[in-house]
Amino acid sequence: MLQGWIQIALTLLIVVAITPFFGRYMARVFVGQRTIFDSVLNPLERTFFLLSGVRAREEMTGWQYARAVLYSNLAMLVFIYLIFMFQGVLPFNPTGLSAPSWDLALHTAISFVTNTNQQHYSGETTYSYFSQFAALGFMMFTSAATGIAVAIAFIRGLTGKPLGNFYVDLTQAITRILLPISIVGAMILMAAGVPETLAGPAIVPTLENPGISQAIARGPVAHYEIIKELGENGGGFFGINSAHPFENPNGFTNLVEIVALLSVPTSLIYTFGLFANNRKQAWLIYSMVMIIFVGFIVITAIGEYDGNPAVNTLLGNQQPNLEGKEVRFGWAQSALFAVSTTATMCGAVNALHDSFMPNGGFVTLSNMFLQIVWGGQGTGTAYLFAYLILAVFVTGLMVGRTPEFLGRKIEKREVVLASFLILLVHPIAILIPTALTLTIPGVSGITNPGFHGLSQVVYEYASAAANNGSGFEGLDDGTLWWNLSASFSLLAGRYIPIVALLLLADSMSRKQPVPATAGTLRTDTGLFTGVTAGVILILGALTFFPVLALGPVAEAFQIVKGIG
Amino acid sequence: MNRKHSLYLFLGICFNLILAPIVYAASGHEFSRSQAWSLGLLGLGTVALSVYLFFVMFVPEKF
Amino acid sequence: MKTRNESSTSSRPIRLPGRRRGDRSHTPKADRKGLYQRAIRESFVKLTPRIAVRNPVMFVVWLGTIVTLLVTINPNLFGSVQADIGQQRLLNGIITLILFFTILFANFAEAVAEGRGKAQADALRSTRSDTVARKLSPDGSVQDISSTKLRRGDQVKVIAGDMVPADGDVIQGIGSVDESAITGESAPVLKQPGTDIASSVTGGTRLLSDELIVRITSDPGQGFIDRMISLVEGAERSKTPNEIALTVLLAVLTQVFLIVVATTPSVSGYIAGFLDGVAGATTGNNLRTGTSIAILIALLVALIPTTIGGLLSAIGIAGMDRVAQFNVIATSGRAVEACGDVNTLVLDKTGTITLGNRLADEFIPVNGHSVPEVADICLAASVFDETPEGRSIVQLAQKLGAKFDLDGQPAEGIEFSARTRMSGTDLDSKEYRKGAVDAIKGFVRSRGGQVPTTLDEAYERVSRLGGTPLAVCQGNEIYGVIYLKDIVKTGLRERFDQLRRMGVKTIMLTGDNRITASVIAQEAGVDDFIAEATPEDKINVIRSEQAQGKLVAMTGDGTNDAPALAQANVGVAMNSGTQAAKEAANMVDLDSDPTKLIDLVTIGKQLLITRGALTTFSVANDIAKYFAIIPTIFAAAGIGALNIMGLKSAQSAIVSALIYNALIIPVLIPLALRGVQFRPLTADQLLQRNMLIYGLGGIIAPFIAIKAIDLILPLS
Repeated sequence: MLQGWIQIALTLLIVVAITPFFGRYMARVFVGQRTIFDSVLNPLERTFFLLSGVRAREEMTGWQYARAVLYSNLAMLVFIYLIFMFQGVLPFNPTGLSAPSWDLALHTAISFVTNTNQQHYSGETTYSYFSQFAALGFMMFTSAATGIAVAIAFIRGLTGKPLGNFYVDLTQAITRILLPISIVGAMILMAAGVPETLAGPAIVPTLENPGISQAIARGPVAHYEIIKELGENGGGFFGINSAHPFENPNGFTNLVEIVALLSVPTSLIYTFGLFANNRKQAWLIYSMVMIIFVGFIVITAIGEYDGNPAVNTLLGNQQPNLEGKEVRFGWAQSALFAVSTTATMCGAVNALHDSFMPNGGFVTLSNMFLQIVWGGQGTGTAYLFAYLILAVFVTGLMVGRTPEFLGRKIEKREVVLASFLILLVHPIAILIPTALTLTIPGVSGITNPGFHGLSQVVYEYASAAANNGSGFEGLDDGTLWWNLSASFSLLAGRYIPIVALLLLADSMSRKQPVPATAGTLRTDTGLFTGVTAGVILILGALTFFPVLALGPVAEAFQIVKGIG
Repeated sequence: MNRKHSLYLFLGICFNLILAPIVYAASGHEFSRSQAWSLGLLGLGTVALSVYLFFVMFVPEKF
Repeated sequence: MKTRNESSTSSRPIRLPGRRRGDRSHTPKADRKGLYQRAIRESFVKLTPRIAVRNPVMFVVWLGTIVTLLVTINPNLFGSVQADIGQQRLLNGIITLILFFTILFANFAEAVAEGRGKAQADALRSTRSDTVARKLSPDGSVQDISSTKLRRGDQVKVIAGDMVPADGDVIQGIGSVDESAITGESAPVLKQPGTDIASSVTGGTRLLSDELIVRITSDPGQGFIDRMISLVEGAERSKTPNEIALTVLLAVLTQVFLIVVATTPSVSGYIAGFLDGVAGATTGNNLRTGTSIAILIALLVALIPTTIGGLLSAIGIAGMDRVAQFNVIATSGRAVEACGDVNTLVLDKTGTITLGNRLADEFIPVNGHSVPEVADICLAASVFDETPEGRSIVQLAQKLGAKFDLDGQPAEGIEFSARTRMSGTDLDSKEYRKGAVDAIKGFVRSRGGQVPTTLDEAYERVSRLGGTPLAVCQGNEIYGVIYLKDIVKTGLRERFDQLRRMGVKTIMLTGDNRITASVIAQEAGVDDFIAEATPEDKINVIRSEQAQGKLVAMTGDGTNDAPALAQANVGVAMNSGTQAAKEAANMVDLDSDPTKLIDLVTIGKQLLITRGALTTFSVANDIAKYFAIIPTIFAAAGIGALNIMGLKSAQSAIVSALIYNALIIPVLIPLALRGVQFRPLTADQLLQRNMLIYGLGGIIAPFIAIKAIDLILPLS
């Protein structure tokens, strides 16, 4: 048991240790300070901007930035949709796969454009190599970079600077952050045993019966794997994702992958601290999120360690719950991975979430409901500050002044945008489709009826709306209804908040800052951080209390009491 | 002003003539026809309330 | 030790001026009798859909009540009841009744707040009965017309005993006016033309003596009293920026919970279907009964922020009313709210920080004279001086034992004039003089005397102390220097300390020289001062503060203050001031007490704190309500163990939560009307304190209250 906890603690220590360095590096990139890549990349970028007609020095307003995000994403969506539909005639298709159904292709395209990578298919049997690396691999960089760009624009606006230029931010997020780390990371993974090849499946005789041969799927996995984690994409090369021994062969690759998927959302908080010139604030928020995160890990890990009481009774002694887990990762690494991947909206999985004890279902769902326990690539950090703005507004009046955040007054416009984007979009994109799915006869595709079945449905929409992409699995979700309704949640959960965040940043950046006095509510205190946690709990989590109560909570009681 | 509201109410009831049979059909035989009709109306009312709240959100000055 | 003492006294709650002065007669005493009867009647009137729709949160409750009423009449309306139909009807009926009272309570809160303003407006209106005005025609003839027909620019004649027909400026005549109708001050005020301040008269006040010619400055219906009436009545009440932002948040929360509750039946319906199969139809039906339409509406009403939704407008109206009770008329709620946000107070020295007059503090003998000698001369030079300075010199001299006997000799007082810059007494052949040091030097030389060198030393000493030196002499002999001291109003230093702790900076403006100004500034404890200030300096300092993003408040009375009053975020004009100043300001102080600005900051903050505290309380309540309702109505799904409060049943839990939800509104009405007690603390201390009371209290209180109600309720 101790070993498992030490593994978890060490991983988190590495993440915390990286934060200041990576955070500072990202701040350098987006402030425009010198980085080591300048000599190579600057001329390259200049040529690129010249050719594409991007006026790199031009600052964008909130609307312009939002339009740039929407148009570029739409263009990419169309591009990869076409690749999917024509993959049968395109090259690099050794297994001769034909085009998927239109709705599956649409869902896949939307889910990759939105940095969700929700997969209603098995990668190796649905999409060709070309589709995987040209369409999906491409989107893994651009959708992640879009998130980072939005977060940086948001941070700039909040701290009173102009928002910047989307195309420049997008390019630099790829060239200075995602690409260099991915190249190094892919090499590390290859060294650790992850394959990277364009050859078709290996045909090998089985060990038991040399007369029978078996086709083992492989492909350009290593580079795909690292950006999948680093960019919070989560869409696996293989259907079973990071549980596959080619995606995640051993404990070391598992560590690299967890650190990679936690690195950007954690470090961005520190980047904010540098932009706002208030590292204390950053560390306080960081600690708040870390405490919730560790709490979630403990809840999940204990559930898995204690195992299923029903099974334990049969066995006669207590055993960890290893159903749906890779033995090489065990209960601790699986729990840590599951909590991390749902916390950061990565969505890669190294174990079957469906098989977790209800504790795990509760935590993974809560992660996606809250969206701020680190949160998605870029957007999570932005949500965190939107919550902070709401907390300032709700409690800030109590000090007898119009609430202010970072010296800027929170007024009607800010409240509309902040409350709309974090309080309202999520229930709309999760609860309404859930209710429809459960009401319309014959569409739900639930394989395990009851409390668990409810969790399956809610999980799927939560995963879509939060742009997580992991699946509870066990749901028959490759249908027209699921593809389209999940697409709705994906789009609503991604673009409404992004537009609102950018407009919020825009209006904050235009405000005249008010100098801080003794009468100003300080947001960088432990007390206020605690207040923020309370606001997050009450406004963000209680909304989903009824579904959590009838889903994982009822299931937990069911398992304990054995009723039903 | 009052006429406008009466019109909306009338349109709602008309729309419910389409909605109610759908509710009735979808629910199997759990509800009677009249219950399906009032459920349809309740659903429409909820949507109208939601629209009203959106209106409040974006033009709070009027309230 | 000292610091501890200070902080212990400072965290004492400020007794709000409104209450302190409440007992004093002020604005025509509002008739508070029948206020509650009227409010009860009003709360029913406000049930009209047209009015109800203006309060989004309560409108949702309103609609919910209609639906619960329908299911009380026919419990099978939206689906066949699985339980005993009579019991279901009873429950629906109880829910309907509680919801109805929830709306009534919210309406009542608003009606009481409005009623207080209306009563005041009625009293004011009674002073404004139409009067006959003597209008002066251009040819000089007098024509009697109704006061409502007067237009701006008309000239009227007002004779002793007449009511002044409308607001205006005195252009001719001197007379005393009884302004008690608007200020509550019974002493008559002298009005005369020319003097900036004393020339403005207000319609509805009464001329007591002599006669005046007044040029009318406002059209009918737009006079000062009319404005006051419409303001206290709340007719022009529009939402303040913070109120608007809060309305948005409340609408969002309501929308969120509407979605939560509207999607619950399909979720619970799915689970009920599952339970039918595995645990028998009874369990499934129990879950269906637990989530019947009436119960879902009850859940919705419990979750949406009805507490703050019901009290929000009452808080705003009461805030305006508190300002009015404090004898200040604010032109808008926005101005009152801005008071709380003020970062900088710009204060005139004279009249605001110091008493208007300087008082004699010390006699400094020069030229080898003794103090009693100087006192004698000072007394002699001041016996005829009726100015406050003169009287203070007499007082000090007498305290020092000086005597002045006329001995029946003819004595003559020499009045101060701007030319001679001295005053004094001629007794027999002796000339006693006091005045500006230069003037006395000249006087002494003109009488052939010598100016002692010690005079300059004394003069400098007094200047360094921030005082005004006056030299005294008899004939050609200079006796000494009188140290006239600016007296800082008592208690101001503490107030400024409090303001500093609240993060409000004070800037003193004075025409005095730097040395004098700095001494007074230090004594009063202001943060900054501007010496030798001109009216332009006033507007410049406001602009430069505003350029840093600060909100500035100031007081003013003269016409040349008008631009600065308009520039300031909060401009308080004195009622004794000119019409121009009153027009430019967004508040008018009827008592003409410039120190009130400090109290207004407190009132503004109190308004915001009250709103924030009740919002926090309302939102924090949701935790307990969730934990009361959800586990009990979903008990059939096996989550009964979450019923940590041990409530008896779903029915009892729902009804208890709703009763709490309804009763908390009337319980909090006094707090909403009176405002949360304000303490002059830093923002962090305030947050800590209020978070503890309203945040933590808001989490815990409903747990206790709902459990208690559940124990009392005879429901099973």
